[in-house]
Parts: sequence; C-alpha cells; structure tokens
Amino acid sequence: MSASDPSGRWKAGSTAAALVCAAALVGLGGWAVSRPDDAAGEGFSALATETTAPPSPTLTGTDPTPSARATARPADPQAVRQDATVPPSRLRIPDLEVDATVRPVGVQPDGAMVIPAAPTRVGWYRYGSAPTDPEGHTVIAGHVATIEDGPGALAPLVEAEEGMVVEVVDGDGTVHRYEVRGRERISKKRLPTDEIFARDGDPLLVLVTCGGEYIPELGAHRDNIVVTAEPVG
Amino acid sequence: MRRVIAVSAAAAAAALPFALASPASAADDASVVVVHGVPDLTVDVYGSADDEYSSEELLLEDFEPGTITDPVALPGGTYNLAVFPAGDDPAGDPAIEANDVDVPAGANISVVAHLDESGTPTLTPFVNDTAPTAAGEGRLVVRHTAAAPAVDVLAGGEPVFTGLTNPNEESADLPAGTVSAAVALAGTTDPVIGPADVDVQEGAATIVYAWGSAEDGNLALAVQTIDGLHSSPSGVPSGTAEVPGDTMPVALAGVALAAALAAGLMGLRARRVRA
Repeated sequence: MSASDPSGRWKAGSTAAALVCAAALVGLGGWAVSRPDDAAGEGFSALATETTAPPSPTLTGTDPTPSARATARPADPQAVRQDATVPPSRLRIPDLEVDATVRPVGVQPDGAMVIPAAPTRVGWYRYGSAPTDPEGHTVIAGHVATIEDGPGALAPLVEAEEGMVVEVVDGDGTVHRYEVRGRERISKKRLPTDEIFARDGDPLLVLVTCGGEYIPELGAHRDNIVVTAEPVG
Repeated sequence: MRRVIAVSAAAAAAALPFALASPASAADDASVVVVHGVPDLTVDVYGSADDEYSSEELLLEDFEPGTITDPVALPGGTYNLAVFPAGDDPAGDPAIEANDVDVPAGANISVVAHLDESGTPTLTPFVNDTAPTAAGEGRLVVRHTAAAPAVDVLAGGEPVFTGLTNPNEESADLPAGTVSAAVALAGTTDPVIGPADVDVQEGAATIVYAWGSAEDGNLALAVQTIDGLHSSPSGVPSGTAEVPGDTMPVALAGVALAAALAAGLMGLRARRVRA
C-alpha cells in the first residue's frame, strides 16, 4: 500500500491524532501529579510549638524579681519613649518569583488585619515583631487575587516547599534570610491567630494569603495559606 | 521638716514581711511597682509586718523623685510601708508611713508616694487594670497625684478626661499612637503640665502620673508602661477575587478530546475509503 493510497493517508492521520491524544493525556496526568499537596514540610507544627498561653502582663518587659530589693528608672515621658522598630520594606521568594513591596499595616474596624489593596503590595503587621526582633513572629500577608487587578504577589505561596529561601529587606537595606519550614492550608474559621501573631517565642517569619475554594457569595476564599520560615545565616 | 502621716486601713490581717516570695505561692504573687512622686526628697523605702523598721526590711535605697521601680513580686497580704529621707535611721520617724496596705494575691499594683491636694506627702496604692486590649489599641490611664486642684487632661488640645481630682484616675482604650498630652486646671485649656508626646502603645497600659506641686511650680509627668495586654487580629482577609484558573489542564483536555475525535473520524474514513 503506497502513501498516495487514500485509505493509507486517513489511517496515518488517525494514528497521528491518536498519538496527539495520548500525549495530551500524559500531559494532563503530569499536571495533576504536580499539584501541590494541602500541606508541605512541617505544615503548622513550627507554629504549634510556640507558647499558646494568653499573654500575661509583664511590667516594662521585665519579669518580677523575687528579691525584696528593687531598681528604679527615670519615668519622664521623654525617657520612656522607645526607639522605633525598623520595618521591613521588601519580600522576595526567588523560587516562586515573589517580589513585593512591604508596608506596615494595622487593624481594620472589624478587628481583622489590614491587607494592602494593590496586589503587588503586602502588609507587615506593625504591632507584632519585625525581623530585627529576637522574639515573636514577623507576620506578612497579601491578597492572593483581587477583582480589580488579578493575581496578587503572594498567589505563588500555595507552591512553597520546605527549604525555599525567603528574603526580607529592611528600609535600611539589611537583608534577613529565612528558609521555609512548612506550608499549610487551613479554613479561615480555624485560623490559629494567637499562634500566628505571637509576640514571644522563636523569631519566625509567617506569610499568609488566601486559598482553597472561592465562595462567590462572600467574595472570599474559604481558607488561608500559611507559610512558616526560620531565620538562617 | 518631716511630716509623719499614718494611712490606716481596715483591721490588720496577717501581715507578711518583705521576704523572698515562696515558690509555692509564686503564681499568686502580686506584681508591685513603687512610684516616687514627692518633689525634692530622695528617700529609702522600707516594708514590714509590724510598725518597726529594720535594715533588713529595706526595699528601695536612694529613690529619686520622678522615678519608678521595676516590678517586684510580693505574696498577697497586707504590708506596712515607710518612706524615710535617704540615709536616715529607720528607727526614727518616717517621712511617710502607710499601714495595712492591701496587696491582693495576683494583683498588679502601683504604690505611689505623692503629695495630696494640700501638699502633704502620702502613699496611695492603685490597682492596675490588666484586662486585654483590642487589637490595634492601647490603654491610656491618667492619675492625679499632684498638689493641685481638679484638672482636665488634654489630648491634642482637646479634653479627654475632665474634673480629675487627687488621688484619682481616669482611663480609656484608644487606637495606638502618639498623643500630645497636657494637663490644665479644670475648665481651662492652658496647660499647667506639658504638652508632652506620650506613646499610647498597642497592647499595653500607658499610665501617666501628674505629680509635684502647683504652688512650687514643679508639676511634671511620669510614665509607667505595662506590656502584654494585646489581642491578636481576628483574621487575615487576603483575597477578594478568585485566583485565575490554570488554563493548561483545560487546554490539554480539549486537545485530548479533539485528537480522540479526529482519530476516530479519520479511522472511520480510512475504512470507508479502503472498501
């Protein structure tokens, strides 16, 4: 049977199409397998080992001394003012092509953390720790996507894996390096806010965005994605 | 001239000496700071179970006006406190004495040595409110411990507390930030103290003492901070839109389907043409 035989051409075409179909199916399978799991590395456990006791008042940051003698300090308003913390100004995760401007943020009227509206900007919780603090969590959060502007700077967070390098740069140029220890997806209703926003314990970096199923009635995703990273170097 | 004032309270309960806090009761210890708001008097402070004071019962030495101690842990109970001019023999007469000062177990207390409204030195214990603050807020507390009549407390020039008298306090939980604080005689806005920048720290109680004497022209402010009152934000609302879907699986599925259809149709055609 020669190539000019009409049935031969149709058969060749059919075989080629079948091969294309098979290739497409293999590609689909590869894509499905490459989807990130719900959790990576240690998941939440780096957070869970922190102290979960409710904060107890510590007078001027020192523990009460058990001896009878006390020390006294000047108390005029100027003397007690604390030096301002150096806030972070840039967040980079090279493996995920994350490179975002960081802004100090506070609390919304409803008590939730403020998230900068522009998706290229992420917020650092100003009342928590900064990378220069020896204790407590530096919390940085950003939109995964907004209606106006599409995907956010932290959208790739869902693919963070243990060992990935994270860099936080201060306004004065100091670079703080961290390594990812875990990623976990958790329902927003069960978000362990006291652990995430802890102000004592190990000086971890905690990155938060949204993920999971999108709920159109609420205009929000059901879950948060939480990545914890430890300082290195 | 020393003036001795005995501040008596309720009938004496078992009074504990200023000894080391026993470990068994450490969790119930009260946390106490002492505030020195009597001008021009460097003092030694003693505490005792009875009204005799010995050198072992020395609590603070060379305590300067306008200073505040770090916290001291004390078992709950009642204490007799005496303030002597620095270096004076505690067997003599104290400048200020307070009997049966109640220090409840687990409480957070500021004991303030100050002038009363008429200028007489006295000791007043204040119990500090350590209830949690809302996320993003701090607690501002102002205590009138000066020899002065009723005052208004101004923040940014506007009265926030009015008609505050010696030895009382007012407080409010406010959004964290720096406040330009001043004290004026009640009903006026001309500052008699300040204005001075006071940081209302998030998650802390910032306690401002007005102390000194209006008559002697040495009115001033002293600030004590109690950390650890913060609350966490309620959540992280980070995403108002759906993440744009991954188009690759849809494209691949479409290709697979189209290719399968083409393969099938072409195979059929091949069979027909062969016949």
